[in-house]
Amino acid sequence: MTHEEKKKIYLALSAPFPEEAIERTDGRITGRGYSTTGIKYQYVVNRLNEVLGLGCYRAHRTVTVKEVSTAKGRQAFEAICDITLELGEWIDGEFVTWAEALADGGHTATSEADARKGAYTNALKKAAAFFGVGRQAYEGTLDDDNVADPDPSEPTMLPTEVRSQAPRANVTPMPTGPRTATGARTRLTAKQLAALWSIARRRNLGQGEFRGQVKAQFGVQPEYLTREQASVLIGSMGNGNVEDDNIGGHVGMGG
Amino acid sequence: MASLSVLRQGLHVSVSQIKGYMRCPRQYELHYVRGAEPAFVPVALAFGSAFHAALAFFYSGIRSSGEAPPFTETVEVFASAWQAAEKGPVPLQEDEEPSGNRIDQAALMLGAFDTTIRAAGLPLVESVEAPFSIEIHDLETGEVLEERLTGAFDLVTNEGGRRVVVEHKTSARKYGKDQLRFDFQPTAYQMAARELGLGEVGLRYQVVTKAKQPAVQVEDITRGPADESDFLATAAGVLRAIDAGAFFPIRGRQCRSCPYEWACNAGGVRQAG
Repeated sequence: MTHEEKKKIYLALSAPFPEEAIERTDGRITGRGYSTTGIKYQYVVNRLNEVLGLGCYRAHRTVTVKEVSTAKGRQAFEAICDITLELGEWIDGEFVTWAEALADGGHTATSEADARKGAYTNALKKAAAFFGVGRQAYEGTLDDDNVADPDPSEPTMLPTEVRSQAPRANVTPMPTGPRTATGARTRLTAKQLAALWSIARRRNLGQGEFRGQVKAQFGVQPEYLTREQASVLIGSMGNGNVEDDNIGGHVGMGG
Repeated sequence: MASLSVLRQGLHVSVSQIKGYMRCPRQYELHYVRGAEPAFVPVALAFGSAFHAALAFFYSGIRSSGEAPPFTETVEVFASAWQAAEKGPVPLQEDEEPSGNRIDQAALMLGAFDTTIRAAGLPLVESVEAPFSIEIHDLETGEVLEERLTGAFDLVTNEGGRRVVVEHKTSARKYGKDQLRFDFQPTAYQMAARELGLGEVGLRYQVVTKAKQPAVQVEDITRGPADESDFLATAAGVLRAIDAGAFFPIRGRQCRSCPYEWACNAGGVRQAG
């Protein structure tokens, strides 16, 4: 594999995830005393499958579990997972590795199975982050020990007044502004802009005239419409029947 | 490659846009986002554009015939472009100098330039005002940005098989050490040249000063991977800030000659006075 090919794979692996792939937790609710940002496990696995292909990566893991007691004396399990994530391919029955990442993860839960599962997913996500998967979320805090403890009576760092309001096993999304912490943009896409110009031309609108109309309606130049505004405009200008290659077959579809 | 005007119809960002945002985000908003009408065209901008037109004529002549056009013709090109700017839909900024003096000043500058270039030996010109449009990416996320980096090389020459991208500037004074070292325009052009298949190019500034006795400063500069990373970080950062609607004003001396001051003050952000 050449350096250029590896670079392309890295770019594909590290591409941003959609907002729904990101999980954020509020430390006041999980009871861990700190807030976290991470990528949901299945999205990480999907990314590996989609970019590398099935059978083109594998993980070796070692999980150790020990019994611990919570502050109130209840039994819990603390699991630690050491993982080696290998990228490669099967050749003549042997997995030939071209990259590997080592990571560990941990999780404590009142069920041993949950502790093991949490430690493994935690470790896998961290190992995948070595290859760029989810880096935009992890660059702030690489700690996805972010599932609220199944036993809400056990938080150790939660103020009393908050503890009584804590929901059970729910991850509450943190509020986000117009642009999310993961870099999701609000400005229209290049495809949307191309579609707008294309429709304007078909309607015999000159550049100046079209700019004037957009400014009058939205207060900004076409290049600075939001995705939503562009989508609305494309729909209204095309009466919902725009057939334009630039729109990718779907009115208002952003690239 | 399509013409620059066609490339600019796509979602793009240019070096001058990035620099404009860094000078004053509020002015950027009024100019590019809101499309406010400028009260005037700054003299320096009109002068620089006309000077560029004259140099483009000069080098196009060399490219087509192998010989530099007569000096008087180059000056005529400047005069035509300057007069067109004077008659344009947006008035020129009030100028202390009579129009004829500007043409005289340009003639002096073009004379110095003509002499310098001829003395050094006419270059092998590959292209003049060649447009480019390339993908750029966010170093933090690896994401290819929606906005393409778009611009035009003033001049590309070929020196012994190696291409040199030349940028022309008119300036009140010679470029200083820091300006030569850190200006990211050549960095962007180096990346664009590579992307267009021109290979690892040389980079050169040809600065003509607006002094009574104009000087021509020819500086070969270099940019490395760290400079390219810096530029990408700057471009992505500016685009993120624009997307987030960060259009704060930067007040200072530049406000005195800002063509958007009327809109800035009328916008309720800050009242005149």
